[in-house]
Amino acid sequence: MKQHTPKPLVLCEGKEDLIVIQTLANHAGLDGKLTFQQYCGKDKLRAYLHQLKVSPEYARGEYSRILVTRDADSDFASSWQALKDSIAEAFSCETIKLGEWVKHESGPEIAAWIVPGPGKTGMIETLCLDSSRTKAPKVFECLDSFMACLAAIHGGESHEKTRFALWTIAAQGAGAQKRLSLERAIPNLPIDWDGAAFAELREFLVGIAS
Amino acid sequence: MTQLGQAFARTLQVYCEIFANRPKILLIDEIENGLYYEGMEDFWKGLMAVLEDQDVQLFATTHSRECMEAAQKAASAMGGDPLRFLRLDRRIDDPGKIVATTFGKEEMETAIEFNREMR
Repeated sequence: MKQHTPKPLVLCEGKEDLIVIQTLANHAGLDGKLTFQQYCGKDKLRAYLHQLKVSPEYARGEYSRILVTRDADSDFASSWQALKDSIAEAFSCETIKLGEWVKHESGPEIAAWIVPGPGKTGMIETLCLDSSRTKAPKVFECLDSFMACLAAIHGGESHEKTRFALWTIAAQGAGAQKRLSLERAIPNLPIDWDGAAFAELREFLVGIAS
Repeated sequence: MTQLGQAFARTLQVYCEIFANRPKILLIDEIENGLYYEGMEDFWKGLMAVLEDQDVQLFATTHSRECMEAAQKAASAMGGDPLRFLRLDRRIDDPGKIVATTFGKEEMETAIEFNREMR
């Protein structure tokens, strides 16, 4: 169905980022006020932005603003630089600053955001885990010791995504058998959507729709 | 010839137009008419080869996603950059305004990869 009112578009790095950020937006009272898309990983961002700029939705003016997000991973500075470069190349706007809206040509305003937040390393999974520690401390005691045990066996830390995947199963208790995807699991996870961990991203999302 | 179906007749009609009239510019409205979707890529490959050989520029319209994707695949197989897409859209904030957007094989390939609509 064609959209008749322009909405802000939030571009997310992957499916899990999209699910978490969309759920956060819904908890912040933005249900239906934002459009979400995912670009299947940072390596696809450049091509995705070029395609987005010539898409029918863009040409018809269906996006009032565009927010491009990606994970910082282990190096905030290089992730931010890569994100800035991709946006600058696709939309010819050189003055991108984190969390600031930039007008370009005749198109919608564009902003960029690095998850988990300005100057921080990590990813969307980091925010979910950080926001849940105080709500489900016993699950984390168990999970942390299990991860430490695995690290000792394998001789190195597991990726944060591994911790997150195990946590999404463990945090559901008896319902874990129904965890086919994060989309199904997320309503049952003890994530504190109103907590401090999500504050910066939540406030920025609220600001988009205002 | 009447036993061979619309696709054959359509293709023959286009080729006759090129070879008989030797135009520099050829306009075809709804080029996908009569073509089965599985045959569109071969249709485009043959047509693009003839267009290049005869130095003819084709402007074709279509509402068919399959036709656009087939043209893209045929163009990629040919090499070079023989194809440009041009789409007309009506602005939702100003319905009286029509905007034209052009894009090439890179954007179309990404749209196919992400299953994004480009019509």
